[in-house]
Amino acid sequence: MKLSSTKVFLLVLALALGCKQQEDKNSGPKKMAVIISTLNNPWFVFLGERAAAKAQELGYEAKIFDSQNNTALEADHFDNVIVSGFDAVLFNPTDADGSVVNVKKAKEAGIPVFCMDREINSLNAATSQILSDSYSGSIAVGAYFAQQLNKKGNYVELLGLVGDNNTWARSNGFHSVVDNYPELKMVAQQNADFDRNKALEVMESIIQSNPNIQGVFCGNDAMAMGAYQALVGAGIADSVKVFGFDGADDVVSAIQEGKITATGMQFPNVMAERAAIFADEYIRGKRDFAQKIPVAVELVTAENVENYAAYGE
Amino acid sequence: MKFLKDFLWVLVVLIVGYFSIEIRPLNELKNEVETFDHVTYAQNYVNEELPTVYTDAIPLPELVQRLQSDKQGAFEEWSNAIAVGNIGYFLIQFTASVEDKSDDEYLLAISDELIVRLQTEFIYGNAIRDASGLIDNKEFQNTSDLNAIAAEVNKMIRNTVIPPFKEKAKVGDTLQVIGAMEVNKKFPPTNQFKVLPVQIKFQ
Repeated sequence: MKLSSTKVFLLVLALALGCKQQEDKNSGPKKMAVIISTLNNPWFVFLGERAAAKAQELGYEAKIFDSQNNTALEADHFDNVIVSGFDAVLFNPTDADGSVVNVKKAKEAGIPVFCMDREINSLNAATSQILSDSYSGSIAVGAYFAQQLNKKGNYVELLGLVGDNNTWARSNGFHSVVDNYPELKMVAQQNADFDRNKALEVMESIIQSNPNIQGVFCGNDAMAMGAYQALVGAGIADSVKVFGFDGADDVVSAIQEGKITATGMQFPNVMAERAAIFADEYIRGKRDFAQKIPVAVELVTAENVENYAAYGE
Repeated sequence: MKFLKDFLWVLVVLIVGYFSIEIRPLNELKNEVETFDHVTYAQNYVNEELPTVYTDAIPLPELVQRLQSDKQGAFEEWSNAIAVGNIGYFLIQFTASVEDKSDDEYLLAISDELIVRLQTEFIYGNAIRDASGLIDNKEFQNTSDLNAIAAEVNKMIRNTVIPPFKEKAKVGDTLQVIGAMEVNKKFPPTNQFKVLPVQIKFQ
């Protein structure tokens, strides 16, 4: 077989470019990808920015990807991360089930994935999952709820997204306490998808059929603010205690003003930093990680709110 | 002849199919998958393992002093917690007299300055599970198993320690208590320490 000089030239050029690319990957700074479920929510923006900042502090290049709550877009980001030669992924999943395939794809490509805040339903895909201890946090909120209502009265529960694990961890933790008090009666339980406007609408409708309520437990702070707005509209805000979960800025202020009774403060900063530190340790050779690391949630009430700012800052 | 052959084939397919498929309720399958027995684990923890570290429980007055003089050291040396963050749990012991009681707690005085709020109603959370440091997170892949252990441990205390105590305790009694205490590293309490009981003895 005889090769023309043009073909030989192209072959040599391709090999040279290939070697150069490989050299660039090995010699340049290592890179961490930060893939976030949505950057439309300030809580997740904070999580992503903190993860990227910690990665940079540890000497890595960091790039944030926005999945826009879309697992297909999330899959594109993972493909991009794999071909671009990232060394680790700090990951806030879009869907507990739907995101598993993306994490497995990265694992097969030899890229470790560290989940932040939201978990995936797999015990062998991610290297480690650093998650808010929502269940225990809701137990603390539930115990305070029962104390504040003197273990009796009618209450409403607003759930988050029914497909999200945090929704049920929070609901189950709360019920593991309040269900021990038979005089606490749940008169309505509806999902409002972690959304303030939807919570307002759902709560307005619930108040129509159940005006005699003493408490509202909400799976996040946005819904707590929506529920409070509905109670104000109905003129019963002063007699109903509202409880949230997250530690968002407006709810911390609302607790100070006596509008919201309590919330469970999460610490996105701790989760983001821990994920970046774990990724750095993995890249340096460590392999022994606990599959799930819970991050403590703290109860914030009128008695201790002066110690807290938004997102545990 | 052909009919008989076809019939035999259909029969074979039906027999093989019948023995290849098993239809069972999903709940039954779920119970088989969830093999972790949190009740037995919690019973073993409370009855067998926890008593082995009672002698390591920190005297509460010593802990209070150390939290004031060397908070970091107190946490590093004596606290345990499975979750990362500001919360630490301490296994503590003290002798105190009953000063007052309500539906939810007993007020105990170790000294004039050192008052304990012994919880008898709201016994929830991770304090009793974590304070001993005997349970290692790496043994568990599911956080739900750890949550179930905490719930069962608390239930055991509510059912076995609290009823006989409440039946007998009265103002003026002197008690020897081993308990678990939650402390926030950033904001440690200075008085009125809230303690969950593990063991209560009358003196």
